[in-house]
Amino acid sequence: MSAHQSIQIPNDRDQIDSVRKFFDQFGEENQLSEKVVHDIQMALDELLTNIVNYGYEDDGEHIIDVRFEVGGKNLKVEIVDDAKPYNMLEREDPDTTLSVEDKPIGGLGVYLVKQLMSHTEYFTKGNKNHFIMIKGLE
Amino acid sequence: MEIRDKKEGEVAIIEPVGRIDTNTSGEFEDKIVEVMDRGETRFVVDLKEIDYISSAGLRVFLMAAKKLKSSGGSFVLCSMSDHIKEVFDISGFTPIFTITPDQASGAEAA
Repeated sequence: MSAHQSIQIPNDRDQIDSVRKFFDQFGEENQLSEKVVHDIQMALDELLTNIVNYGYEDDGEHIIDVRFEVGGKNLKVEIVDDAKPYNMLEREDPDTTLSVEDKPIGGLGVYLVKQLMSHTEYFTKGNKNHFIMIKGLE
Repeated sequence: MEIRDKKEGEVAIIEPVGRIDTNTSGEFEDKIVEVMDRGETRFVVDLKEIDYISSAGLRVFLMAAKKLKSSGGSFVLCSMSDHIKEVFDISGFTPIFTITPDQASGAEAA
């Protein structure tokens, strides 16, 4: 059995919430666990915020396409956008062992996404970025 | 976002509702700073009604912990869901906060 749906939003911070609502609905329809919904919502917030805030050098409107697919034992989420190419996955992981005084403020978002997903992947195709997350549904 | 705050004895209790993410973390930070500016140094943040905390939210928690550490205050978190606990574990945030099961034990620990 497989189900897929997608939503397109403009590169506007206020629109990120519509993806969250869309995925809440998708999660309900596909009976995804609270844990899966939680982790994906978090990851979407991290990734879409990065794209919207840092991805574009012009002031024009750009469309971000977010695709959800449940198949077998996995949920696949793919974000496709035409922001400037940038592989967030290549960022250095933060040192999570530092004390409260030494911990830098920030730099955790993408690391959390990598840790919470079963698989993450980034590639460019034509002038588009593709960011793929796979989350096991076991 | 809805953020309630109250005082129990010497402890300031903050109860945010919903999500602490990119959109709402600014409001949450403003509330913490507002309560700190009132001179409060002992805090409990009750996460019972929080669905998730993104890295923008974690940033606010770390900021508060740093400030209170240097001023000798306390910042206790309570009623954390398992999902949020996992995010704190992964981030290395669990060891730097006092985390208690409920508000009453939180107020005692603060």
